[in-house]
Amino acid sequence: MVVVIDAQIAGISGDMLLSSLVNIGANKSKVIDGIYSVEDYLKGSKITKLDFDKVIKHGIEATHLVLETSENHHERKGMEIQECILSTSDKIGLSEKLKFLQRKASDHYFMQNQRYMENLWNQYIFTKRQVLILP
Amino acid sequence: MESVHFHEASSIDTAIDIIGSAIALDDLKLFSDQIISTQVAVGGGTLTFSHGTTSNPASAILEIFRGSDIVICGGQVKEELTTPTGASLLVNLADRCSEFYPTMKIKSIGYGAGSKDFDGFSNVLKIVKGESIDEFQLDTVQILETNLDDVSGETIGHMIDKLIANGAKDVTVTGAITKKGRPTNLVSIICDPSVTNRLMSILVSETGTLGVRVRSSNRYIVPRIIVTVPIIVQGKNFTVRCKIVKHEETIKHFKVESDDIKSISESASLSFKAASDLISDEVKRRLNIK
Repeated sequence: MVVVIDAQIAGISGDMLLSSLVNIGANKSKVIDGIYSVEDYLKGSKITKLDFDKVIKHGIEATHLVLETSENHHERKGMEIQECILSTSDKIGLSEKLKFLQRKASDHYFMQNQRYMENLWNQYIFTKRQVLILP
Repeated sequence: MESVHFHEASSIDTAIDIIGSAIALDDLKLFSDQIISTQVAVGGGTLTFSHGTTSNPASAILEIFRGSDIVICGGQVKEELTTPTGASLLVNLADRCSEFYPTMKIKSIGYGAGSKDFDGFSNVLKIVKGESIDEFQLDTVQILETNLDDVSGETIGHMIDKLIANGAKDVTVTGAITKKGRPTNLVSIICDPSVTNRLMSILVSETGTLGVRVRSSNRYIVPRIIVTVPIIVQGKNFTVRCKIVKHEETIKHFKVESDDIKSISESASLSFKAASDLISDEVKRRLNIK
């Protein structure tokens, strides 16, 4: 099976990817419940509204993420977000494999610091596929 | 990591997008599929944030895409179309980037909306899941050939190493006889069209050859993936890179990177062959290959 992610026209943001996955058939309540666990690990932040609705954009019906949060911290350290992601994965029992994907995605996101990035690549030399195969 | 700060009040959003996407991917079992990205629209114009104004795509996005296979494209609007979170998720999910959709039967389609509305296009991400018809991937390579009849073995050895280091996919040298009974070497190089010029200069400067034949060739390749497998040899932990060929979920063939076998044989004081056999067994066990 093959999956094409088509960002040719409108680009891609985190919420667009998430919404498109819900639209193609991911279990909405499973996703929502899992997301709420994030709150426990980011002290001072609360999710005040979380849902997926349907919108029409130029004739195409698409899923849209409705998200409202309140945050006390204006700036967070990168470490906090990463710890949050890993801990949430543990809590909701996301398989080991997804934790690696998340870690890589979140590490990538934090790559404002180039030297940090280089160290990271030295450590994380797996590709996504590795996690598919490890028992 | 300690020195990296988030500047926009969107940090919990990032965690939510990443976690939510991971849960959705797990639920849909999309990890077993080959994921292909098309070109990515990055928009244009400028973006103002806590550090001032920058042009789109911003540095974070450039860094994330740097070195990856993903092709970006500016336009159609002077706004940010791709965010750092979107970029990092895509870079980690996509196995390759393709200009066109592959040969496939369509099974399901998903549309995810962005928050803004634009004139002239629908602000949605499209994902299409289907059955791939190609068992092989088709790509184009260039083949460079030349004959060398007056260079030493050492020159040839050095030339091979230098060509590989500069992007040649493969270099083969075959011995032959040419006019006047002279021994000659037929050099054949396979490479991506983007490095042809560079390799030609290397060939000319290293060997003094006066002519290089170039032709393009389509090539069917068996899709393969490279994975890193942690193994234990003599009680110590190592990791090895393996090329894996799968057919419908089962691993048909694997090959361990010989440099990794070599370094393990040195650390463990084993012969190359002994190390290779040991590592193969370990990898088979780890990957559940019969």
